[in-house]
Amino acid sequence: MAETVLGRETVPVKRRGKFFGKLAKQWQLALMSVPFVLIGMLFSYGPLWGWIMAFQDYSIAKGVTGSPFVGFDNFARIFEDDQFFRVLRNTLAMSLMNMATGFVGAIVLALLLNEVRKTLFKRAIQTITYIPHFVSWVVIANIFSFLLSPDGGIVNVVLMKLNLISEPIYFQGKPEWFWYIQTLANLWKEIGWSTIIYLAVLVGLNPEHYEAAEVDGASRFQKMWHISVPGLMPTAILLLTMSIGWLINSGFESQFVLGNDVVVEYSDVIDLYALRYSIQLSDYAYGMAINMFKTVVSIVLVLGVTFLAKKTNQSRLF
Amino acid sequence: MSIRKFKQGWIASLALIMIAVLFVGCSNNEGNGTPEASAPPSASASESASAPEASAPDLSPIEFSINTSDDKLKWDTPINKVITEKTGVSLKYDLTVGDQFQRWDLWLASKDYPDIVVLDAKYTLRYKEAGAIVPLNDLIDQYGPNIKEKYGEYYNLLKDENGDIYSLYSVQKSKEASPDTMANFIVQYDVLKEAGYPEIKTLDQLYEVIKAYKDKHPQIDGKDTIGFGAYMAGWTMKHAFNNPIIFGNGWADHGNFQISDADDVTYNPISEQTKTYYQFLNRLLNEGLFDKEAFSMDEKAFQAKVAQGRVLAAYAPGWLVGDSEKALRAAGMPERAYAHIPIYFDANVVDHSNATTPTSAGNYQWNISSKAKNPERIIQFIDYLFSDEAQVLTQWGIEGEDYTIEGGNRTINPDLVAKRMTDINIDYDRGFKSVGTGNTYWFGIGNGAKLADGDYATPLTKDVISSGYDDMTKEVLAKYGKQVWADFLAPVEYIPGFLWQLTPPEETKAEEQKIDDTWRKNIPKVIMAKDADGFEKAWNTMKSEIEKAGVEKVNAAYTSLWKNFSDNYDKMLGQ
Amino acid sequence: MRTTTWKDRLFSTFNYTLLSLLGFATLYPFVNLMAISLNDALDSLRGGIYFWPRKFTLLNYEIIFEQDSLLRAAIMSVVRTAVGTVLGVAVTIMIAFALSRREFLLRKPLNVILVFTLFVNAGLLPAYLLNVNLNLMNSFAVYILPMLVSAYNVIIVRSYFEQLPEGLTESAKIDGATDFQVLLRIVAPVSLPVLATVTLFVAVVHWNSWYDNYLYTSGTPSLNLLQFELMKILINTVNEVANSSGSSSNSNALNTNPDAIRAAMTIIVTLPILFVYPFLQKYFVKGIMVASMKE
Repeated sequence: MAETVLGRETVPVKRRGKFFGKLAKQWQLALMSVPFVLIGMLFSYGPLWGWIMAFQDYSIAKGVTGSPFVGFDNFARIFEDDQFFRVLRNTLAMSLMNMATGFVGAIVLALLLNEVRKTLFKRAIQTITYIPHFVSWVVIANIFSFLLSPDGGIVNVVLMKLNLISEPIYFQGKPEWFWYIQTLANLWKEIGWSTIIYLAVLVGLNPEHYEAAEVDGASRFQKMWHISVPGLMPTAILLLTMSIGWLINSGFESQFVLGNDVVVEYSDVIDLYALRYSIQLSDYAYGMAINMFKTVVSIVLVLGVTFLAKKTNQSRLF
Repeated sequence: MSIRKFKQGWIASLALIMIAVLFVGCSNNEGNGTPEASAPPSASASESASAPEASAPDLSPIEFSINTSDDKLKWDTPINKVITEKTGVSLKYDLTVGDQFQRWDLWLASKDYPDIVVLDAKYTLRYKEAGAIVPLNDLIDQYGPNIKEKYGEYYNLLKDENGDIYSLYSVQKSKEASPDTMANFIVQYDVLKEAGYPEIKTLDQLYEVIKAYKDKHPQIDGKDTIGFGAYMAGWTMKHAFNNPIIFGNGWADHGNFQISDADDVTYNPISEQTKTYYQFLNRLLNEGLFDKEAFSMDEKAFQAKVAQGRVLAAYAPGWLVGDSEKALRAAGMPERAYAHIPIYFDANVVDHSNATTPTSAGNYQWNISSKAKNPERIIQFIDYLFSDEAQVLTQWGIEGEDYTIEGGNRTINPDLVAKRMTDINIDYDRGFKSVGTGNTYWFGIGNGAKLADGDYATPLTKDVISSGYDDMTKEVLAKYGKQVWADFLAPVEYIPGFLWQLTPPEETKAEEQKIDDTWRKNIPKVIMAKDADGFEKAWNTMKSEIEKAGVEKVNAAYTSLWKNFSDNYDKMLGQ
Repeated sequence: MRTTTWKDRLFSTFNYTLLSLLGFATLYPFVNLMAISLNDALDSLRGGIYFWPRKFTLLNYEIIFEQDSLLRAAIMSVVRTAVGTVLGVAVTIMIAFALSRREFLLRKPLNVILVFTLFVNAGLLPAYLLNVNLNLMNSFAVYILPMLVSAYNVIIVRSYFEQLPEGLTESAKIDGATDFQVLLRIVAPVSLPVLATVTLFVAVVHWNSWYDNYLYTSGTPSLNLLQFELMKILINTVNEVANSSGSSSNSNALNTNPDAIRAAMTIIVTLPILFVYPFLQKYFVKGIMVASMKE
């Protein structure tokens, strides 16, 4: 994509004049882009000089200008650490699970809400479901511990009463269950919030389509399947593409508060790893190397998905 | 999202710092066993204190900025007003709540720091290397007679290997244990009562009493009784899984390390003693006496269970269970509160754990930044704080308002004692609080230390502490013939320093982090082992993984750090 | 009008039940926090508070509201949210509109630049130094400028604009309307649902922000935000608990704890947002009507 820019730059003088002549006619659109170009770019790309640190034995006292260069040593350290592949696996696994459940969950909820005829009920549920988005992860983790505790937690009490188990299960002490617990908690916390955008798209769909379908005697499911779902798809694909780019950015808060040392082999993620080995140790160079690695992975993923989306003629990110 | 993400880490790191400071207070604020340092002939101290004031009376108003993590500090208080009168100086507090380490890094990167930068030892070194703080030797020679007088024979300890002084912090001159300290094993009053108030000295004895109690009372208040509590998910886990080994063997607290008589430093969590303790926990767990979900509980969850009154015993410092004990008393269950007593691995342990050091180095240290104008005024100001006059002012308050002289001795005003019970802000409002250096505010010289006038330097006494106890606590203490929990502690011993007070080696920090991760990951596996064979296997796995993570290198780095320090220490004192 | 089949009825029953259950599950944390915030903190420590307080008290709120700086901080938060949202949404709409126009010559390169801002990141330190060098320390501008454009929001709005019928803008252009007029008079009014959504997104980010306050403007108390003041109260409580429980004395100086304060804080900052949403919901309906009129 960047070649496009370069291509424009290197065209012969005559054509360049033509280009600017055309652009001059679009001065209003250009003007609309100015705030983004000036301010958005400054704050997004301005700090990228910091990437230099990733190639240095950086110390704050010496700064970028005074710190010695060490080539790719910091990157080598990342891949030499056997912990790293474990945290990479956990990050991608949980991100994928969160993405899949969040994606399906939000669309289903939006469709179900869209079918509700009672406005008050619809609005109430809509508002209520997005509350957990504003509740901090610590609080959510407290509630989950309370539910899952083997020492009087509700889930265990119910399972015991139903005679399904003879002894309380230590849910939070089962490493291989952690991904599912985290996914469930994340779905619960974010489902309402991620639905908002889909609801906005649904109400924007042309009502004539529904009316026409009704005249044709379409059932509710048919209308949902043939009008609502296709209407949501462009936005859904777009959001999905962005989430794929963010697969490597799982965040760390939920894993930090829900996890513990029993399950750490399944709960540790890249951002927690960076927190321990970079931020806590003031090793900014190492953190920067991890950052660059994440950026590269993101961009490769998103370009790959965009390429596929182009082939299938779906909505594009670029 | 990203902003919300930071929130918890932020609080955790702050709490970590706070608790670290407090913990230091717990293990470190007893007096030392050395002869009272360089006590000058009586009264001459206060005279010499006022001498430089008279000769250099630049009392023109001047303001300096200083960083603090305490949002409640303010300058507009009666005590601070007197300080300003005497020195002309007032302080402007720059708030750095939250992740202070990160903030210190950012300041250093942007070359923008307060006039007085309060840092820990590690950052002091970094600031020094960057030229961000200035050496103070000449300034102290010229303007710091009280600093020199108070430090006395320990003055050279302020110097780094080049003989330069960069940081100022308080000096400990107390020979007595501070009456508010206590041992860290806790046993519920009711358990002691049922057992007939026995002397509990060893882990085996502890096991017997909690087992007997739990067999008799499988439930307390409708919920399962927990024989021995613990908390692993969170930054306090070292209190549950490392410190009991240190104190149970009667060692001085060097964090996760042991120091041998030959000054060899070794990582404690793979020691034989640790194995013994984990075997003890393993046995408790397999017999149903250990909290089965301790590994996923943070200290809050532990506090909640303690506050329900169903945890019979644990290793938990006073600050960790204080609130829960209050809740128990408020709920009318004073018999569920705790005795805070030392317990040892076996009857032969000689307790050296009540150790103290001559200075509070390694905590917060006051440095003067290269940006500060008139650094001599800052030293004059700090020097005043070291004077006897200011010691009385900052620790006792203002005569007539906060204390009175009765029978020649300073006596704290009963109103102040009462207010401290009910008004959380009283010490801030009066001005007793400052940016502390370790366990004291305003460069105080320690609870139990005496000033040149022969009277105590601070008002905290056993009587003050025991007047805050409830009847049940007094009753239990009386059964053991003690007045305060501090009476259970071994005699104060004097050591040159704690390992954690030194600036940790930079070159092994990644290995240390990895070792720490490996240790944490393996603890549950070791303690949850089903039988002796499983335990042995899990223990050996942990040991070999930690060895693989570079423990030898870390041990070597700390050994050389410690040896350098000890050599230097003797040299400095002899200098 | 039409007969409802048994399938429809079954679906409705299922739908209402499911949504009610979900509503209950998602409302619970809020109810629980409400109960904890209204319960005596020491009593809450003992656990067992679920739906309503056991030992009712307003003390946790009193402790928060007795801070005199709170009102001023709340005003500053409202100002920041208002200014930040108005500017942020305006800039977002403009760039999204420009990028949605197929004939715009800079569309491709700007799109690439925009999308990459989602993924490039150099961490805190360089960003901090940038703000220091731009002289944004202790200024209101540091609240607004760094987060002026969110590529995520731009992409959402852009894609919505792109899906509008071509004819909508074409005819207006033929009538001689400028691009600004097309955006304001034709495109924006039919895009109200998505604009309302993006407004909510931007407003929530501004309303919840305190980290920039902490990093860049904590030296200027008049710029402090509600969230930051509340954070400070929470941290003070953490400090106080640590300070006051050193000895097992009966001191009752401290009547709260961090959990109770956090609960009350969450309620205080969440309520305004909950009230904003129903207000925005009406645009969700309006959008349809305008859209159908225009078609």
